[in-house]
Amino acid sequence: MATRINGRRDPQADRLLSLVRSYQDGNTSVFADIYELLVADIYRYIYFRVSTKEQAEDLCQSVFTRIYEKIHTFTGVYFKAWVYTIAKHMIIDHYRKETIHHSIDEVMPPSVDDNQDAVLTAVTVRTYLSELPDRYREILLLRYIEDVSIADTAKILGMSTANVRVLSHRALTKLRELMQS
Amino acid sequence: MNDHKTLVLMLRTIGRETQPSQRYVDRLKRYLMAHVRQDTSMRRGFWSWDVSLLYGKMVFGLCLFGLSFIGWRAVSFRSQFALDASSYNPIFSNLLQPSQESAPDTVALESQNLLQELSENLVVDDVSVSPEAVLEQHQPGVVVERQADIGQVGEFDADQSLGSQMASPTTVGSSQSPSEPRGAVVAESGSAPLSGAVLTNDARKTYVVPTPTPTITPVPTQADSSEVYIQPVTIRMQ
Repeated sequence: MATRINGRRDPQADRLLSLVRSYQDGNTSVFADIYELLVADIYRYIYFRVSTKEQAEDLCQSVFTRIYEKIHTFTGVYFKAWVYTIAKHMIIDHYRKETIHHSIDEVMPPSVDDNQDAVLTAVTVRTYLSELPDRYREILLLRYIEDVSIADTAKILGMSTANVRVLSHRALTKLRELMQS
Repeated sequence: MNDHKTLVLMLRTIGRETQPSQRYVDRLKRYLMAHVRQDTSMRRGFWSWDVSLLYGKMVFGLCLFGLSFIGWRAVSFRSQFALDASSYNPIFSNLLQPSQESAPDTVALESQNLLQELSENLVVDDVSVSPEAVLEQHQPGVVVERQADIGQVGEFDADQSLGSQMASPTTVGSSQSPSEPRGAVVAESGSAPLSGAVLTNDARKTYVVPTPTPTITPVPTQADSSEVYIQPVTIRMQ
C-alpha cells in the first residue's frame, strides 16, 4: 500500500512502512534500518521542545525504546505520524516530571562539532519559539522545522488540514512580530 | 524577515542543520540493537538452536544427565542393599515384612480399653440385652461394674440365653416390661452360670463375666445364611 501525502507518493514513508511490516513478520534485524530513517527527525523534533541537548538525547533514546516496545501494535499506514505522537507524549511526560526550569542561556551550549552560526541561530529561534503559544509552536516545528506535510501535521495534532493552514499562518505572523519587537 | 517566505526558509534551514552528532547516533544504535538481540534470544526460548546460547544449553543438559545418573544409581543401590539384607539378616526381613502377630494384639488392647471406658459410662435402657452381655460378647473375663438402681438387685436367669434374646428383637422402650428389673444380665445358653453378684455398699453391683467365650446363635429365620444377627440396642450416654 503506497503512502500518499497531498496526492503524491512518499517514497520514504513507503520504505518505512515496508520495514515495519517486515519487522512485524519476525525480521527483527530491520529495526536498525527503521532507526536510521527516523533518528534525525525524532531528535530534531525533541531538540526544539526541551531545555538542553542532553535532555533531547535522553528523550530520543526513550522514544526509540518505546517504539521498539510498541511497534507490534502499529496497524496504520503512516508510521512517522505514529512515531511523532509517541515523541509528543513523552515530551509532555517529561515536562510533567520536570520541576526545575533552566534559563534559556544555559539551554544549548554550542558543541564543537556543530556549525557555530547554525547553533546560535537555532538558539535564537528556540528563544522566540518558546514564547509562542503551544499550538503555534507545535505547528511551526512540525510544518517547517520537521518539514511534515499539512495532512500529517493535521493527523498528529488531531485537527483538520484547513485548521492547520490557518494556524500556521497565524503562528508565522506571531513569530515575525516577536522577532521584530 | 518581513514576509512569511523568508521566515519559513529560515526555519527549514535551521531544521536541516540541526542534527544529532554521529557519535550519539552510533551509540544509541548499539544500545537499541543490543536490546533487540537480547529480547529476540529470550523470545526464541530454550529449544531454539541459537549459537550464542548453544554452549549454555549443552552444559545444562550434561548437568541434568549427571544428576539423573546419580539418582538412578542411588535408587538401584538402595534396593539391592535391601534385598541382600533381607535374605541374610532376620532383623531386616522382619522390618521389610509387616508383622502379622503384633497387630491383633494392639487392636485387642485398644478395644478392651474402649469397652472398659464405655461400660463405666453406659446406662442401658433396653434391659433385654445388657451392656455386660455386650461386653462379655466381645471381652470375656472382664470384670464390669455398672450402676444399678438402689433397692433393686439384679437377678440372674440362667435359662435366658443370648441367642434366644437375639432371635426376638424388640424395639427399645415399647417392649420393655415395667416389671423387668434393670440390670439383668443375660447369660449364654449352655454356658456356666454367672458367678454371682455382690451388692456393694454404694449400691453398685459387680458382675464377673465367665471366661468362656460365648457363642452367638445364628438367626433362625436366616437358616441358610451364615451371617450373625445382632439385636439392636439403644444406649444412652450418661
